[in-house]
Amino acid sequence: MSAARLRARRPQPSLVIVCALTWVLLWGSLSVANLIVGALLGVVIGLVFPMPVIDTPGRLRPLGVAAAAGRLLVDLVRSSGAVLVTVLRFGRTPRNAVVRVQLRSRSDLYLAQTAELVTLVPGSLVIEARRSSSTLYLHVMDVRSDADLERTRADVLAAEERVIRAFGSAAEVAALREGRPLPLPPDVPADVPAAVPAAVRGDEPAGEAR
Amino acid sequence: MTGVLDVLGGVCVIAGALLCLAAAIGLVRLPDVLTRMHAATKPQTLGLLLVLLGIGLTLRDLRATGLLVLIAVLQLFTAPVAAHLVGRTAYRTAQLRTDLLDRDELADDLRTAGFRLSSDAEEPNGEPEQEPREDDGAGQDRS
Repeated sequence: MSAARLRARRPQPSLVIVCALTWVLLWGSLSVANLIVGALLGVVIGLVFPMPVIDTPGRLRPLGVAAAAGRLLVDLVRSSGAVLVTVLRFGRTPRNAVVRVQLRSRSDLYLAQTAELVTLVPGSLVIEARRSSSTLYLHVMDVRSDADLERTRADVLAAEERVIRAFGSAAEVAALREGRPLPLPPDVPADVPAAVPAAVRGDEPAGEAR
Repeated sequence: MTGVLDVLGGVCVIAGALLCLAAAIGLVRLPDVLTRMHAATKPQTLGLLLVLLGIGLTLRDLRATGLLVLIAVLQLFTAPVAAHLVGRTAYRTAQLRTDLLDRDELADDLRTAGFRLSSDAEEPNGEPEQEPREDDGAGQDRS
């Protein structure tokens, strides 16, 4: 897949709309002039900083988005509490770990959104994302047992599931519900199996890292 | 009614400010960059959201609310990205306390992929290893 094909040659409509909306919110008044200037800014930004087109196989699911947003708020409160407890407890240095989590989907959009959600949920921070195999490496704070790590892995996969329920295609949501492997886009390299559990994925191909 | 909203708004602002204070204490007290980023993302984000909510409840102005929502959305989107980049850089330049890590599966994978990590190197005469972690492969795009 060449870089030229990935880049949008013309401004993306979503970017123009978001810029216009942002501009209106910044100025605090909805006027034709504000909308036009904001849209023009969107066009200019799209031309100056061309970005890859976001290819999404699914559609926006309002219920899924609401569920994910609500859960995010709950998680934010829980994780803030957990960090506060760690911060304010004297006399013990927290033990940490870096764990690998293999996502089930293979999409840049899901990978990015899952990483965002995971950073805001309790105890974990994404420090590395491997795009080719949709693998996230998380720093986990205050680890006491292996069960904590397993819970973190389960949390990440649950966050991925919420993302897919919010933005996925019908086939992906159905696959999630029935516990089948997710349908993958056609350009996924066949040498990285999607459904292999994280525990047995100790053998990363050496060629991949050059 | 307005009095109740004012009190609620004030409580939210104070609670948010306290959370931000706790995040700042975390930045000082936690042992290394990666743990500090935990404090910089979670209580800080929630604290800012609470402050914004408090301001919105106190002002009760539609235009101000629009701006507050914009700030909240931008914060929610950018804080994890910033934390990711800082954490990634810290890991790659070995700015972390490996003695506090019970397990490091990223290092395991990097060794399997044939990288030599600076934490593996012997330091016989106290000379710090200058070479950064050579783990450029892990985050590369497929091309």
